[in-house]
Parts: sequence; C-alpha cells; structure tokens
Amino acid sequence: MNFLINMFKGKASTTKSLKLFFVMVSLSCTFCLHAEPDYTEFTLRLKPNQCVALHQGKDCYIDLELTWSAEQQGNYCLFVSKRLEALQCWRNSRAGKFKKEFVFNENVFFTLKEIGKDSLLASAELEMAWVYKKNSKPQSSWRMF
Amino acid sequence: MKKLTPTIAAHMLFNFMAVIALPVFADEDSNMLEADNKNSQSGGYLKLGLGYRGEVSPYHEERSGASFVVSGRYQWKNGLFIEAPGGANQLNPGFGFGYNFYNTEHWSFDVINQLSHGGVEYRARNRDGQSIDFARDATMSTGIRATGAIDQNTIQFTLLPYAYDSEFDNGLYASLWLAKQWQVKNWSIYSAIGFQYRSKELLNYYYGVAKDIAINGTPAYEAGAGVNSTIQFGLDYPITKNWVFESYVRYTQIASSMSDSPFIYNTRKFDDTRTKNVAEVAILLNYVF
Repeated sequence: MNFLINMFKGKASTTKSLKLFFVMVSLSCTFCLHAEPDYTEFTLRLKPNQCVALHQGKDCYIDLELTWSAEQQGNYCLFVSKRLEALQCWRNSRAGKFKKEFVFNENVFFTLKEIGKDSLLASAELEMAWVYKKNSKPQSSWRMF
Repeated sequence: MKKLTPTIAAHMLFNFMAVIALPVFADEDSNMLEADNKNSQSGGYLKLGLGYRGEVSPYHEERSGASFVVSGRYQWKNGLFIEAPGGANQLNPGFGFGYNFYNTEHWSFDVINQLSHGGVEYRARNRDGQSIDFARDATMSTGIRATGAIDQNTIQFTLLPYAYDSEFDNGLYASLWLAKQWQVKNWSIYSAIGFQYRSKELLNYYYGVAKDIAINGTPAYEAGAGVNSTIQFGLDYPITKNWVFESYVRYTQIASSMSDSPFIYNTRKFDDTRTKNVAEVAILLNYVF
C-alpha cells in the first residue's frame, strides 16, 4: 500500500516506483506462465469419474475409460498417481483412448505427459465414494446387531 | 417389589459399567486413549428398502409381496446409541438402545437394552364353549454385548440377564452370531450362523399354558429353555453412494420348547400357511442416508 502512495509523491520517485511496479508485474506474470501449464490445449476425460464401494476404505473395482486429445500431434503418455511407469504411450498422436479395470481404495489422479518431460499437460481425478463410513457401525462389512 | 428387582438390577449394572469404564479410560496411557478415539463409533445411517419380501413363520400367516423395510443406527459422541434393525439386520429381535463403553482395534463393547422376546397373542374357543385369551407384551432386557471384527469375520455375543417384566424373574437371553464376508468385485457376499438362547423362565412366560387357563384342545404346558438356530446368506451391491441393491435368505429353526407349545401347535393346525420354523427371503433396493 505504501508503495502505491509513494508512486504519486514526486516525479523522480514516481518514475522509479513505476519501473519497479512494471518489473514486479512482469516477473509475476512470467512466474504464472511457468508455474501452470496451459491446459486448454489438452483434455483428459474419465468415464465414470467416481468409484463407489460399500464401505469406506474397502477396495473399489471400476472399469474406466480414459480419453485424451491434444491440439498438436505429439508423443504422449498416460500416468496414474503413485505409479511411476506409464499406463500407455502414444506416438505421433493427437488423441487416444484407454480402457482398463482398476482397483483403488483412495482418490487417484490420471495425468497426461509428453514423453521424456515431467510437466503435466492434463489431469483428471477419480473420486472414491462409499455407502457406509468407516467409523460407523457396522464396522465390518456384514451388518450385525 | 417383584417388578423393581430386575429394574434396579439393570440400572445397577448400567451404572456399574459406566463407573468402571471411566477409571479405565482415566488410567490408560495416551496411546490407548488415541486408539479408542480412532475407533470411535459415532455416527450412523438410516436405510430404507423397498422390494419383494417373503416370509413363512409360526407367528403369522405367510407373507409375500411388496415390502418396505427400515433399519438404522445412530451413535452419539458420548457413546449412547439407538438401533432399529430390520430386514437382513434383524438377527436379534426389535429396537434397541444403549451405551458403547469401550472399543479396541477389533472389539466393541456395549451395555444394551433390547427386546428379548416380542409380544404374542392367542385366543381360542373350543366346542365345549370354553375359551382362552392369552396375551403377552414384548419383554425389554438389559445386558452386555461384545462385537468383534477381525479381517472379514465378525463375531457378536450378547448376554441379557435382566428382563424388565413384572411377571417373571431370571429371564435370561443370550445370542451368538458368527459371520464371514467376501468381496467379489464390488459385491459384498456374506454367510452367517446364529444361536439364540432363552431361559426356561422367559420361554415359559410366552409359551407355557398354566393349569388354571388350560382348556380342552389347549392343554397345560410347561416350556423349558431353548435355542433357536439361524443360518443366513446375503449380498449387497452399491449402485451409487446412496442406493444399494440387497438380497438375503434366512432360515431359523425354532426351539422345540417353543414349537411344541399348544399355542404354536394349534395356530399351525388352523392355518396351513404357518410353518414350524421361520424362513425369509428378500430382494430390496435400499436408499441409505
């Protein structure tokens, strides 16, 4: 706030302050561009995007269909969180589809990356849902009282 | 005075458990307290089911068709809870409430009040013009319940030594349930066996025919203690996080001291849809809150 007030105190200080202001704005915008990849060029869709288990924390089985597309042709790989190796890679492609049955017990992210690069091009979350909370009776899967 | 005895005893039991539970929590080290908090059972659910249900029983005529089933449980953070079993959950009879006083990683211990027997009615008139009008209300009992859940196995033991009824003393109810569950994809499949013991005093109150009310066709009868044995199979499938498909089949062999009673024998004789034992099958679509 003081910085903005100082801008209008005198010509010399105004010029100096304006320079500083534009440098800061430019820097911050540069960081913004580098910090967040441009997702608009890429899409990654999950179908379905929720897996429902009977009890919280139990394994949830789901047949997933992932589709991705890119504006430009390239070499891309599909990853799932907590797993280093790619689920599948495509070369010289601008779209792809992947189908598989998965088993999870917590939320996971699927990501699209360019081969040989770490930056994310697109990501999608698979959400876990459940009917009965873990801490509410019946604690076991069989309801008994 | 007779009525007060079991009531006072039940309150003493409840208070005694609360008193011994408090020092246990106070004396335990912090790790134990943390473990207990982690296993807090607070929360609950309400399940409303609609579907087909068929049941044959000695207690009522055959029932078959569309059915609405309600079950639920809620436990407050202070350990008090209420339960409304129905459908597949109705392994012990009726509504219950109590206090969950101790939990470990695998075990949960409650002081519980629940029905140890439902109400019965029997009215008959013979050719001689003699009649009998017999009715007994349900009996609420108090005791202890322990539930263990280890891997996919569940064991539950209930002991209700104190019956809130003015007509008899020493009405003991005990039950043991064992269940195993398997997960096949997102289907939950289970099998369970259970045994319910009722003391002579309890069963004779409901199934005994005293000499002073006996008539021709409904002779005097003294019921002994008995055990009901149950086997159940069922499955559940979560369609969404609120909708669950459920199906189960259950068979209960009634204790001979109950089925041999003239009340049961005669009602079966005049209604051929009534059976000696209980069998139930259901296919339900449940909404879980």
